[in-house]
Amino acid sequence: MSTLKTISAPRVDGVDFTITGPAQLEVSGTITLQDPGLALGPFFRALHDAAVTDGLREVLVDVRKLTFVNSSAIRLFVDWVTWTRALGAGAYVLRFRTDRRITWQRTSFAVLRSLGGEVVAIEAE
Amino acid sequence: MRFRPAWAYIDGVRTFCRFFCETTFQRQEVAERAQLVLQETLENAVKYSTPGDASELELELCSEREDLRIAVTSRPDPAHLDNLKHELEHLKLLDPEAAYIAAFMRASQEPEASSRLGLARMRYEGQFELHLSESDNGRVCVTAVGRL
Repeated sequence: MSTLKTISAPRVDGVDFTITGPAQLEVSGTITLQDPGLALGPFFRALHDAAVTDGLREVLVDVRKLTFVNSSAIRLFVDWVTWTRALGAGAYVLRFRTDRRITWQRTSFAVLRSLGGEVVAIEAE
Repeated sequence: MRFRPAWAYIDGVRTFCRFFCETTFQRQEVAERAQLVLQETLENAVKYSTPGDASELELELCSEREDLRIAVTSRPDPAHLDNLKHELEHLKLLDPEAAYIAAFMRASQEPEASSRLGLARMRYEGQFELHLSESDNGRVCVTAVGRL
């Protein structure tokens, strides 16, 4: 039984979250909320907690259709990587599937990779 | 373009300016860089504006030879202005990539603080340099200049 698959995605204008498998999330749209941490932070934390509960070795996050975000939304990904790193030897890998043609994905996920080290993997298509 | 500092306007203004840049300069990459600078400068201006009739935001977007200039004028809270000056001075000590990485590190180490990624993002991801100028009436102009 996958805990991650039982998580309900929040309904927020402009962005859709779809849990597409026991260790896969797809995000599409844009995130330009004034306080994305308030609206979406608990969802990201629930995803992390579920990944730990399920004993996952890797979570795939497909952001290719997430065309634009503000810097407060980038913070959501920074927090997720920080929580994962804090697990130490038990950390799972966050694998982000990105679109190299989208400027913010190309640059910000490269920097996220340098923050996360081995717990972050980038697939640029 | 002038409008009152309301969050509801930001998406529409950014979308229009992205379209304007893509159509005028015929380069998607310029339009993408411009839209992120617009988003971050307008968010800051709206978040930290003081209330009142003199708080109207003024946005100017123009090209000068090989540069694109985006200027947002607002009347910010004095405490925010001090923070903004400090952040800009600190940013200039590092190259854009190092400053963006440092901003990520700070966000990671200070989970309860606000993200404070926007200014570094404009320099590295947007490839714009930032300047600040003040007027006697309390209005402040943040100007971002990047290559076309």
